[in-house]
Amino acid sequence: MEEEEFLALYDEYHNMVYRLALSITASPQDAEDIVQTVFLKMLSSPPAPGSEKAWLIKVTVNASRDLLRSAWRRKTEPLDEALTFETPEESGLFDAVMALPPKLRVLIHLYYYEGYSYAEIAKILKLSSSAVSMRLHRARQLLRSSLKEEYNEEFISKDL
Amino acid sequence: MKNLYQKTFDKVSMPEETYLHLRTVLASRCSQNEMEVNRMKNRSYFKKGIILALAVLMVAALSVTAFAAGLGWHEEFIELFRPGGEHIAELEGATDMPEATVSHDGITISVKQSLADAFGVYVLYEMSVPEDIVLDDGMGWAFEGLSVPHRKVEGSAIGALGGSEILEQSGNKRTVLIYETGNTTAIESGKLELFFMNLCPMDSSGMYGGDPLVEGQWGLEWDFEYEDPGKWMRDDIPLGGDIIDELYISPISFCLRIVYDEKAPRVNPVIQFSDGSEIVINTTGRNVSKTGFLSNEATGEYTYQFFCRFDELIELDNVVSVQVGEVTIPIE
Repeated sequence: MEEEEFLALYDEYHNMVYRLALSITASPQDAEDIVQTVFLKMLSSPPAPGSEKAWLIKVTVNASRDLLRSAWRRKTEPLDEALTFETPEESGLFDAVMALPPKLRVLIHLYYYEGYSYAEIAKILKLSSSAVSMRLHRARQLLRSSLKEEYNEEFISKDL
Repeated sequence: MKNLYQKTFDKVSMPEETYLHLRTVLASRCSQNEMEVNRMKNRSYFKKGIILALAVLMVAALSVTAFAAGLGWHEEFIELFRPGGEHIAELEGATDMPEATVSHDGITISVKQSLADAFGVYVLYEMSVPEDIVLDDGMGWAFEGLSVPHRKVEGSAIGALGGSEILEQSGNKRTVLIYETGNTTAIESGKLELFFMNLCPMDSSGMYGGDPLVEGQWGLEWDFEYEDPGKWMRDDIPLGGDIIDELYISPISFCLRIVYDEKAPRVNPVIQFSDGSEIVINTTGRNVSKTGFLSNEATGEYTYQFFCRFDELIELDNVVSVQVGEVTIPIE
């Protein structure tokens, strides 16, 4: 892969990888670590042209899962010092998402942020579509319950 | 929800400084891309032998595990460090199984194994608590400390990364790794000490500060001797306007010291092996510490120390060089 092409991909996707890694690990430092790991891997084993985004998503999910499994993993650092939000709704949603178990956070992120369908998420995470559906349902329930404690019903839109 | 979620996570981005630094690291790696491509081409010649090689590796891996256990490595250390046969030999003088136990007030703590190189001590201990307590992650020590002997040096000595990890727990028993790494002075033989105070539940702030389940203090001290499994390079090597003062590498970790004048340098060390493979040290990694400290009070000299514990043990005998910026340092 040519340097110009590679750096263009880094420029375009580094934040996507970072957000996804953060949504799984809930640690800014681990997320930065994963960005480096993932793009170094891209250099040594480049994906097929046109499939870079899907490749990056898969490799990021796998790298994040590996990190969570590692006994060496440092305790998660607080996120609130690293991130600031404009509205309490954004802050509340972020906190609520981060309070979910990692396996539910990744589903929520892939569905709501990256816009993947159930079938696409199932393929990325190597789950059945029904498992994706059930977990998303569970994640929504938990989010709804968590957000209800702080906000009124209007805030929680119907598709949640 | 979707709009709010997207709006919220749009605010989440990698810090600009990290983005730029990593971009520089990656661009530098690109310039060596040809070597990587050649390496990948070479790999294809071995495809026919992969299945046989995998079978051999599986048998070898099982044998190594049995071999490590046979040589006294605790199963949790084997799981954590995954030593190969060559590591068992290289680290023979760096591991110890001391007889150190303390027991009172229903709590018994026994040290099972230690592993050390010049910049890290890793201690595995087991603890048991009264049978009516079922241990879980929500219980821990209000204070837990590992004291490690260090070489005395002029100037300041700071910068250790320490911590502990629960490796296994069941009922009233728990196996824990406690460690200290990356101090600015090398570790030496002497006495190792462990100290614990009050077993408590986690409080609302996430600290083990609730009402003690068992109140008291437990201390252990034992003789600690280790043979340094690492290699040192102590020649002064110019790096831009700075000087690489010291480089250390062992199967467990890597440490680099650079004497600098004004601004601490940013370096991206690359460990190069005899088979052409490399480890690019992740400068933002969780196992990395970077410290600038006053190393010589008389001259006002500052030293930048970069420490990294490898994710997996490396084969030190196969390391041929370390690349730091434009400088390649042979390892002999």
